[in-house]
Amino acid sequence: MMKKISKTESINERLEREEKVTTLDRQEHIDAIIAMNKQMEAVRREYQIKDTNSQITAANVILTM
Amino acid sequence: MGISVYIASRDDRAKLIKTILLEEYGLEESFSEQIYNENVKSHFEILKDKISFLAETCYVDSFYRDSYYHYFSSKLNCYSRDCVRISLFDGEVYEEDFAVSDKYISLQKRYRGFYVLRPTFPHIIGRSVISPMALKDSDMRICVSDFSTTANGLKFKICGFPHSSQDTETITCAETTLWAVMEYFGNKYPYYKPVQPSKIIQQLNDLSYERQVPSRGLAVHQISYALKEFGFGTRIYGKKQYGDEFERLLSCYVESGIPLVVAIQNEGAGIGHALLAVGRENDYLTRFDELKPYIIHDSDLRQAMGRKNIKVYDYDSMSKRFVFIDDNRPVYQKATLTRPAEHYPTDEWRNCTITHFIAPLYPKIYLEAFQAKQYVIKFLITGPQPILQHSEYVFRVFLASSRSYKHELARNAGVHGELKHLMIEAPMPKFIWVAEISTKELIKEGKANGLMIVDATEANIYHKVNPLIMAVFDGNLLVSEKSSGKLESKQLNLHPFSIYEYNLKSYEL
Repeated sequence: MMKKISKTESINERLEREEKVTTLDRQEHIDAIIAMNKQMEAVRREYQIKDTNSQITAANVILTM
Repeated sequence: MGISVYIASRDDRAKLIKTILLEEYGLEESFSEQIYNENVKSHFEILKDKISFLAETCYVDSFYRDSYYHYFSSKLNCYSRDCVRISLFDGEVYEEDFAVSDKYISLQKRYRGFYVLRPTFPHIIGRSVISPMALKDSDMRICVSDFSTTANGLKFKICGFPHSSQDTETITCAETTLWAVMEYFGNKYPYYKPVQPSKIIQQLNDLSYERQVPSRGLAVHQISYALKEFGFGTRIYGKKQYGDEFERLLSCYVESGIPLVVAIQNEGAGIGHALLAVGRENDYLTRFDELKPYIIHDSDLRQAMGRKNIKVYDYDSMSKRFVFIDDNRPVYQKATLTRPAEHYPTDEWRNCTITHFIAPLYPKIYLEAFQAKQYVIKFLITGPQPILQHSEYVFRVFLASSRSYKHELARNAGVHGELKHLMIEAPMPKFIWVAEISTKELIKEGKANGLMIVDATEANIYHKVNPLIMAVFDGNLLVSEKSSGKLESKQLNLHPFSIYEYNLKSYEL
């Protein structure tokens, strides 16, 4: 006997049926994502600077003891 | 010459070491005494009183043999090829225990690891793997790997973190640290291989303009380079560059079960030293009342939090002592990040501060901790469906392998109900960033009531909600549809669940 035991499909179908699923595609959602992406772009730039400077200073710390 | 075997109880530890140095290596009594007092005693003093010792001579230790054949054998002075291995057992052991098959299981249960004594006088403590269960103070949560060994002809297994003192010629703190990292990962995951000192030296040839032995130490970037060559996707973090985020990032990686190479320095005293952060003290949840709100430097985010009256606490800000593997000190030293050398006897050492740490990451972890944590907090506060207003949250971010995470999930250690099925059946990369969202009260019970799972292989953090796999908080499950890139919100409750604590192995007193 074979039985499919994965439950994701049935859970998703039930949630759809009970109208408990919303796609976050309204303008306010899109605006929030765009604003968040801009902030994350700034985070990425900040990280790149910190990372490069960490590598530069790492060359000057000698570990001998 | 055959192998000589000695058994000694607590009271005879000093006598055992001095006898071995006298009889096996022919040292003078006064020198043996000095070596024991200055280089061995401190290692034994941290052990429980009831630990007994079994010593075997003529031990071939691959770690020392590598140094011997590549360096010590080329000197005029004669160095022995052989080491002595000292095995530790909880409680008394007798000669007969090793001859009766019934006693084997009991011996394995009581086996607590081994020290190798190598003939590089006076720095004789060589490769060792000691279980925290052998220690007087075993209250810790650390990275451990399994090691196979033997004692008096019987095979044993031991769980611990590798340690060795430096011989000061072929291996200084930097090389010992590299060796310990590779020994740990090489024994734990088939992807990595343990390395010997000669391999470390060979690997660093391209970055050196002078001969490398006798060793004069390594710069931080050389350690990172060697780890990269050994198969890691290393990242370097500098204290000056990351400021107050630095210690939280270090804590985040330790909480992720990744041993970190930590560089400490007292520039005025000319001290630069490498050690490993491998864990932390076990239980500090009761100190959560002292936790200060997370200081946000990003003005947009700070304003958003002010408007919504949201306070955020970072689990990694909690003051705690970390567990260090330091080749100048006995294994598993506890210290805070502000005074990582507080257990040293002199002020010159005690005033050392951390300058950098190196995270040896799996090469396909493209999203590192700084960006992952920023992504989590920005998604929660300013994302398309932000967290509820007028609230206080504690967030705990760590890396986990999706296999281990799902394994513990399936064993009912965390989330329950339909969400558990959705999580287990969700496609995930080998490594994931997990953010557990809790409150100050819940976290004291070791529980959380919200969760975010972020793709650690997704470095593009500024396009749609790319790295998000799923998020559950405030009664909603947010899932990103990978094909369309659309974000869906599904009403699904998440009851408080136990936080994930399987990246580090817990030991108690």
